[in-house]
Amino acid sequence: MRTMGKRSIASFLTTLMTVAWSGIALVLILTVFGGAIGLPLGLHISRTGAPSVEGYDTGVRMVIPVSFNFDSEARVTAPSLGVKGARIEDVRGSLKFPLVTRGPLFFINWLLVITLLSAALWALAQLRTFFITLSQGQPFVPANAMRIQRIAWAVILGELIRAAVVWFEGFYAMNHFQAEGFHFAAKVEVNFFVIVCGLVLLVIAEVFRVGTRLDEDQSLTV
Amino acid sequence: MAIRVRLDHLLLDRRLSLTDLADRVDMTLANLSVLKTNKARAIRFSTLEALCRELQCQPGELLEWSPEDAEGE
Repeated sequence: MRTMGKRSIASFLTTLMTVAWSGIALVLILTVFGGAIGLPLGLHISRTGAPSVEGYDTGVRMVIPVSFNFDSEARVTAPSLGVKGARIEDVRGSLKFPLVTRGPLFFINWLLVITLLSAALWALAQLRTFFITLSQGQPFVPANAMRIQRIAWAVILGELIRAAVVWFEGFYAMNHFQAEGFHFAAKVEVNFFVIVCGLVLLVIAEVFRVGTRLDEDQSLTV
Repeated sequence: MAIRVRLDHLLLDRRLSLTDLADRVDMTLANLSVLKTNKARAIRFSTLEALCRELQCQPGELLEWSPEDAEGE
């Protein structure tokens, strides 16, 4: 299968980005208007920091990412392996709860979801225009190096923001929720693999910039 | 670019049109136009040879260095 040009992987990805962009734009509109006019909403921030929104019949429902540790050692054994004292640590999950009134937590999460969705829309728009040029068979247009550079920064900053959001939600749960048998914990967990991917993209952006200049030189060589 | 292509002068002297020259040197009109309007970044020896052959000139007559343009860069 071809990677560039018509009916290629690039054109498939362009379609995919267009569908994803439209879906996220719709969710963003629903979130903004739903939150502003007081519609029943379910605000979700997943364990990976991905935001989403659901409609509910009544009230407001929240889903936030949390980490927790067991107060006493849970008894985990594996008789077939001869293991008697295995421990469960650093458990991650989602805390789902209804909100009686729309307080600061709702508005902070509402703004967070709007910000994350807007950032995702912007990054998808950059990716979509990049893949459009690839599906047209013209990778070395001057704007592409800048687009890849922007995507690289979005990946790096996005990961840092994601880690901050997950920490904030964990910190909130730790200070406001009590549970029997375990306690909530707030940890800053930056995925360094994603940061490295962002740095690799920054280098690729420079390679694209050089490639664009060489392509321009080539096209103006008579 | 401080190097200027004097193609228009040579064409005028030889009473040739750009289209005629393009046919003779087997180049596209668009490429010759890039050369004539000084937008070219580089010129191949094969192109230079073909132009010199058809215009009956030396490479030095086709190209000139313009100090004014060099200062402007």
